[in-house]
Amino acid sequence: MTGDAFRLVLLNLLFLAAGCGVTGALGWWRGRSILRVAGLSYLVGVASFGVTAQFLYVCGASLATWQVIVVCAVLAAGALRPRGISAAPAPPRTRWGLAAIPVVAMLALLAVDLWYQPLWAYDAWTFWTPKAHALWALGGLDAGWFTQANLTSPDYPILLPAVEAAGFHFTGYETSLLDLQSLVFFAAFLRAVYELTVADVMPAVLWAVLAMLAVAPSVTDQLAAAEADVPVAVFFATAGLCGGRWLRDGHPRALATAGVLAAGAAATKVEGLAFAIALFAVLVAFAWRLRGPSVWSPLVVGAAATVAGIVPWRIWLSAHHVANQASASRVTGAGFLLHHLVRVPEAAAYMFAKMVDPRAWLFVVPLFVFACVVASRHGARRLVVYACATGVLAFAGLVMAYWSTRLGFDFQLRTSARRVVTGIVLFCAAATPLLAPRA
Amino acid sequence: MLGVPASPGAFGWLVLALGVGGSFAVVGVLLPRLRRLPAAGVAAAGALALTCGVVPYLAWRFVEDLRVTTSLDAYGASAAGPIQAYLPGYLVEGAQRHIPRDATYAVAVATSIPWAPARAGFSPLAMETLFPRRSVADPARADYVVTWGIAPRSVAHVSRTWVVRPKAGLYAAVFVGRVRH
Repeated sequence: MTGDAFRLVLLNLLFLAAGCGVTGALGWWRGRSILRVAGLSYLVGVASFGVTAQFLYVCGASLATWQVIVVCAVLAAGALRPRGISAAPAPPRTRWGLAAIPVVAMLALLAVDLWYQPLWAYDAWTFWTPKAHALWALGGLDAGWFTQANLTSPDYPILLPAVEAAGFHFTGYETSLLDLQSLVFFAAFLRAVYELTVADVMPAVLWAVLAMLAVAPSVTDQLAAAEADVPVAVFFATAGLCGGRWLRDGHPRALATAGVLAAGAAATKVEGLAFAIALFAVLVAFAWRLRGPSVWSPLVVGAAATVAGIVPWRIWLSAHHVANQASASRVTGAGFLLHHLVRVPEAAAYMFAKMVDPRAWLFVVPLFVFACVVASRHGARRLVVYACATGVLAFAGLVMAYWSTRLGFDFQLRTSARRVVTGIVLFCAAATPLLAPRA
Repeated sequence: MLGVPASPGAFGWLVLALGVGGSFAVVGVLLPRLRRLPAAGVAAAGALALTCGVVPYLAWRFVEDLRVTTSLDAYGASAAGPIQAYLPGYLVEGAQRHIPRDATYAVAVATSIPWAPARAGFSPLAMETLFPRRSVADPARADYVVTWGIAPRSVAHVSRTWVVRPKAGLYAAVFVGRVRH
């Protein structure tokens, strides 16, 4: 397993190189400042690779080892001529940086724990990992296998299985490492939040957020489950942070990066699409209201993200007559929705309770709410409205999903709510430092 | 996490209380300095201190989890998913001998199987064990049927039946039947 872990590191270095290419082309870095956007680059690399891989699988590619390397190499080509106008600024040093000690210690403890964690979570062993296994072992998207009766959630997009299958090409069929792969996603997210905010936010707030996320019991529980909830949450939250930076600074690179990450979220899980739509709906509303020169940019980027993230997969599903749980007909059945109106407050209350439960998320959401209140008093109303509107719209998307479900409502809510709120909680966490600028 | 107890128990609560109490003490000592921070900074510092207080409890959770996961044998580790659903990982082992790789199969589970997670998990277990064979929903259209607790002839017209796993205790027998078309 140790040798396999080294080969998994190699794959993750390829993802990082791919991401550095994309962030370089978008103008995030130049020269040695590449290290200051390593976390963001890694996430962008995974999202870019995953969306590309999903598209290639739909087109009939097998994505053998050499093809994985070629895809990453093509994406990494942007690193040859990075478009960064100026080097990213060095982060200021403060004593608050000592909080990095518990953060790193927790991640190290998690790594040890996940090393011994078998594949046990229901969704992981019943369909996420079997899909990855099939992509790897059958040499691509075998229509017969992926449309079979016993496969749970055949309509879920395949970014995560594609990433895991790429891992199997390097390690062989080693399921014990999937938890560690999830941990790398999460560690990169913490690093990305740091990179995107450290230069100009209150260090106490930034480090409190990072420490709470690293220590939150729900994170450790979900990483051990190796399901798709952490990856989709990480993509959405980082996209939301980039969207906030675009609103604040107006850099097109932040908006484009939000688009890449939102495409990754949409290609990871069904609710990722709802999150991406919520995020870009708010950005479009802001752009429309401000009527600046970039009024159409968020619309174009959001549409491109949605098309890249989900349309190829939807076409494949349609061509193979796979029923789609997230079809529009589900939310337009007025009679059904009216008949189940009572689900709305129940689902909303249950999910909200999960989000503010300190046993799961410590004080992540309360700190976000407090930061919103303080920021709105200090003239940062635009960012407050952005963060709250995005969070509320994403939350409404989840409520809609529970309201319109044809499956057992109570069972679904009780078994999945604690996981699906992760995206919104991580978004709140990522937005909190933005709301607390350095004095 | 697989090995974390559902309830922290007396020792877990003690660790948590000591950690949080310690963090309150630290906040008390540092309060004069924290007062210089803006409101958001004070709230963040308080949250950070409480978070650090939770770290010993989290460490205890890791220890409890590692106690379980490091003691798993090879079978327990490889079949941890099915075992969580009250399914022996080997329940469908042997069915591969009777079902060709390019054949299709359908699954049927007796409603008398007492555990709902096991009934739900049998199909994915069959899918995993019989990979890369493909399942179909309708037993009449399958080449084979794999049944748990039901005779294959009660779900499809079969020309031959094999007992893959005989009844053992509470676990009903698993059968494979070749469907007659």
